[in-house]
Amino acid sequence: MNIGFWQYLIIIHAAIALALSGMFLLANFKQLFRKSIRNEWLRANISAWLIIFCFIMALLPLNGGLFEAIGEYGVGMALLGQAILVTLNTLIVFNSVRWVVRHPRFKQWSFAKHQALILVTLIVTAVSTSLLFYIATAERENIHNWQSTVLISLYFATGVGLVHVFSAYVSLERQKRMDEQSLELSRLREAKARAELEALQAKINPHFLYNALGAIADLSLTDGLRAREMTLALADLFRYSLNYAGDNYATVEEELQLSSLYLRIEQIRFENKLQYEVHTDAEAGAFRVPRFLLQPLLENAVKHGLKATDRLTSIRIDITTLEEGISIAVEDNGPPFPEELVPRYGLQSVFDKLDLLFPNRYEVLFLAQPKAVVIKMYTPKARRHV
Amino acid sequence: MYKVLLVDDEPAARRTLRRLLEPYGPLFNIIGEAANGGEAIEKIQALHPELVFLDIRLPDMSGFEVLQQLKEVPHIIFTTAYEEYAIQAFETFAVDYLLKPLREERIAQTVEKLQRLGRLGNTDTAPDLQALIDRFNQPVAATSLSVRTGDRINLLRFDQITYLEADDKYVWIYLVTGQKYLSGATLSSLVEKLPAHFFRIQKSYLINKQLIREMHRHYNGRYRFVMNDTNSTTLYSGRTYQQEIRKEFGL
Repeated sequence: MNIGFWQYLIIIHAAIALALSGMFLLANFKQLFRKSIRNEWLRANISAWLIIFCFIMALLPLNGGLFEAIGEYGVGMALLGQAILVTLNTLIVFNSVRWVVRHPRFKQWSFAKHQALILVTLIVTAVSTSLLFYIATAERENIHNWQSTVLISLYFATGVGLVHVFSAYVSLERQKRMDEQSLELSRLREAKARAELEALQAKINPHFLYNALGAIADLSLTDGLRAREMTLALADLFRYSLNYAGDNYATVEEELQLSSLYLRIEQIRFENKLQYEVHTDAEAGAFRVPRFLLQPLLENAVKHGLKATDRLTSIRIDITTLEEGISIAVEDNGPPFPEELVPRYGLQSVFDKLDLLFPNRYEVLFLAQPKAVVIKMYTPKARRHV
Repeated sequence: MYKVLLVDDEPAARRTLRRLLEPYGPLFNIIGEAANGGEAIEKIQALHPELVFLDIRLPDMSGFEVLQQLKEVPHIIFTTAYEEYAIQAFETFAVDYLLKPLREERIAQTVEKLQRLGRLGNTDTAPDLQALIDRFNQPVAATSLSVRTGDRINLLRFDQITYLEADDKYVWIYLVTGQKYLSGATLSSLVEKLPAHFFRIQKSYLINKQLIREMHRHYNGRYRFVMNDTNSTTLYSGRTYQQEIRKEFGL
């Protein structure tokens, strides 16, 4: 069969176009038919079929056999033959390689060993498939021409294989680097969180200590017993805050002990002006919350409660276990929250602790009726309710 | 002999003061006590004390605010646990400024001072109380925006807010976590409450400059911002904001 200049030109361009489409499809392999085909195997095979079709057709200028077939059987039959070849390649070569790539046992091998196996599988299956096809379709007298078929498929398979190995290597390196980075990042984040928490806890409001000591000095003149009680409560309070051994969490029970120490101290300071009650359900006690979470809230509650000078300040702590977390409410009977709430140190520290220890798993609500601050914390399992 | 009123929110502090003044016998005639600002004003107006021991931090108001509400101001001796108001306190009518916990020696000095001054005349100079009160009540630097929804208030921290979007009548506030909150305030009123790193890129968009992940030149003098939130939100600047944006980002 004679090929004229223009025919030659058309064939070359068609080959280039097909090769480019093949590459484009390959680059988007994972996206192909994602919406239309649900079955993963079917989707991969159809995509692979298209890509192999593009590449094999692009190799036409190298493949004398097809032109012979066109001369012999006509265009339709020749194309059918190609389609069968593509299908065979997909079913045999693609699926063998896919199996080798994905099998967990091989995945455990070293990178080099695994990639070598993939390469060998690819070459062996590709060459034998082409040879099989050639033997089945070629004329008896041409059968000794099998070398060119072997050679073409060998080069083709090796090329594809090396591209695969290369891209696997690149993505392996990138993965490694990303792992290192994220590890470094999480290490940094952890260190930062620890430092921040230490700073937060060290600042258990110095004014509180100062006021308490002042009150003890005053009481010691007039009421020795109360002065003693307050000193003891203060000692317990500081034992709690000094002996936490770096554990950023405390159980609700521990926090409640601290709370009653704190409230007792304030109660002695303000004598008949302050009362408090604690309501908690049985399961809540063991729940772990950020250490020193409650105290700043109580400090605010006392301060706000005392603002309403015409009545007894009454503070109520309500702790209830939720399905997947816990709710802590601190209620006071002071004047309502202002429209514009500007968190001072205490409240801000509560937010900071929650951000560090319950990131995206907490809510803080300011309720107007009854006036209360409510903190809801969820266990890691819980989905975000917010 | 001074008619004295004691103002302190802690009963023990009042008792201690009484006790410390006792040795000076007839010099101080304690005619009453008050536990908060409101009570103090009432009693000063009713009992006309000549000398008031006044705590600066009272539960309902500051000592300065008590003074502001009085027509006739008696002599004042401030008592407080906080050192930082001493200078301010002396700018008022204050005769003295006592740091708590109170000490006997210090009271002795006060007494000496009172006796040296003899009968105190009425000071006519009206100090600028309002300035003092403003300084006292100075708002702490805000770190978050409060948004009211129903009977709950949400505190949205500035470093959690990615951007704000003005709707017809409302403003949506978007957080890094992807949550959004509705505020009834206008965008321009919110601008005033937000720190300077919230920057307007469009008539209806205000973004947190500290949470920009990427910034790209878009066509037609606009810019494309990819925000550092969970959704990697993409926002476009308005054409008319080109100059401001270039200036702001030093482009």
